Amino acid sequence: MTQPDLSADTVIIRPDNVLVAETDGMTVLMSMDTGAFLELNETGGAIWAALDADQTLAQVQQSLMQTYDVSQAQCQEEVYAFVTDLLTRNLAQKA
Amino acid sequence: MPLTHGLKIHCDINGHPFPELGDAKPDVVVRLRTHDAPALTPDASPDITAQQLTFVIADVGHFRITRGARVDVWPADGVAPRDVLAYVTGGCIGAALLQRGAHLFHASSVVIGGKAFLVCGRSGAGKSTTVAHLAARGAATIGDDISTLDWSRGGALPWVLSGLPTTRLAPSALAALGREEAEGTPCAQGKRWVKAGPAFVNGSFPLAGIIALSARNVDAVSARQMPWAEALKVLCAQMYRRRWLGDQGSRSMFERNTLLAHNLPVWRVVRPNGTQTMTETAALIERLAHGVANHDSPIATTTMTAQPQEAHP
Repeated sequence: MTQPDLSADTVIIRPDNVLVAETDGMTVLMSMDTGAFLELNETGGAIWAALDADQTLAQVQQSLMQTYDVSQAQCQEEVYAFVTDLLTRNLAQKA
Repeated sequence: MPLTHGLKIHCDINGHPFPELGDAKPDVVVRLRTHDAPALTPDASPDITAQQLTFVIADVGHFRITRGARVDVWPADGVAPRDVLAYVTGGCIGAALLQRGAHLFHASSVVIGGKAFLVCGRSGAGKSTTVAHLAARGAATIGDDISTLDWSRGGALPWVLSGLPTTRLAPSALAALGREEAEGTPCAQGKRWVKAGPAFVNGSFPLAGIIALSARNVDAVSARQMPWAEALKVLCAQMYRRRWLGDQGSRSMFERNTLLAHNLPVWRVVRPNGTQTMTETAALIERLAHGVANHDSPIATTTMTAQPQEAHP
């Protein structure tokens, strides 16, 4: 599968057709179109939450680094991997 | 008056299984039509709008469901009424219920200890057969294939409304239950469409648990309670005709499924392939149900196994 082209300026949006349930530090996403289902751990849930404000990926990383003790390189790696997973499952879109 | 999924249904087709209404005004009317059939080819996807759904089944007929109140049927030439009724009692009534905003599962349902339990699973999982075995052990049955949840009473959990007093069983399942293999009439997948029998009860019952049943290459029956996220995934997958729901319906059902996943025990029950362990499967589900039905709150967690026995009827 083709990897999405991501950069610091990329803005990722959460589509209206993705349903979300959150409890006990776990977030669950489901696509109404495809039925695709994804369970997020706390880190995934935090990245998902940070995608809520039409921020660039650079801004998303800054937001996460203010909360979590993580290096910039590791943060970028995790955010890009997570966003790539969301995009390939049609659970997120590039703006 | 006995209701079907909470509705009074009038049907023009001879041999239909719906309760007679007398002078009561029907909620849903099923009419046979001969002219003006919808222009859908047999390989076409259902035509779905907010108020109307039209689908066609090759060599059976065209079906149109409108506003949850009217079902129009254009039978194919020479089709047997029972083949048309199979779609009327299934997809057509299911669509009418969805148009009315009902919360439906592709599941059979049973009452144990005064509380309702759904048995869901993919085709071939053994839902109907398991419920028939539960009935043979003394449980009441309230529906096959479609289970309707009623949230109108308020509270954190819904009630389950009884469906039709019929079920679809494989001849081998009928034989295992001590019934005639040729009982009833033939229907899809080599099964027989039979009366549920005296175990069927009409009414509504509080939902107390959901069993996700599957048949696999394992040696023994086992059960475990799923964490809520896994339960939510299973519940969303077992929605009746999920693709017939619009966006608003999908959101509403997702929210309701989330409530169920949080507030109800949802068990994964795995049984060996074949019908040799249906007695053990039913016994294990019965134990799980009694564990809930005898407590005011859901039991915390369970992992159970039942070994197959040597002798089977």
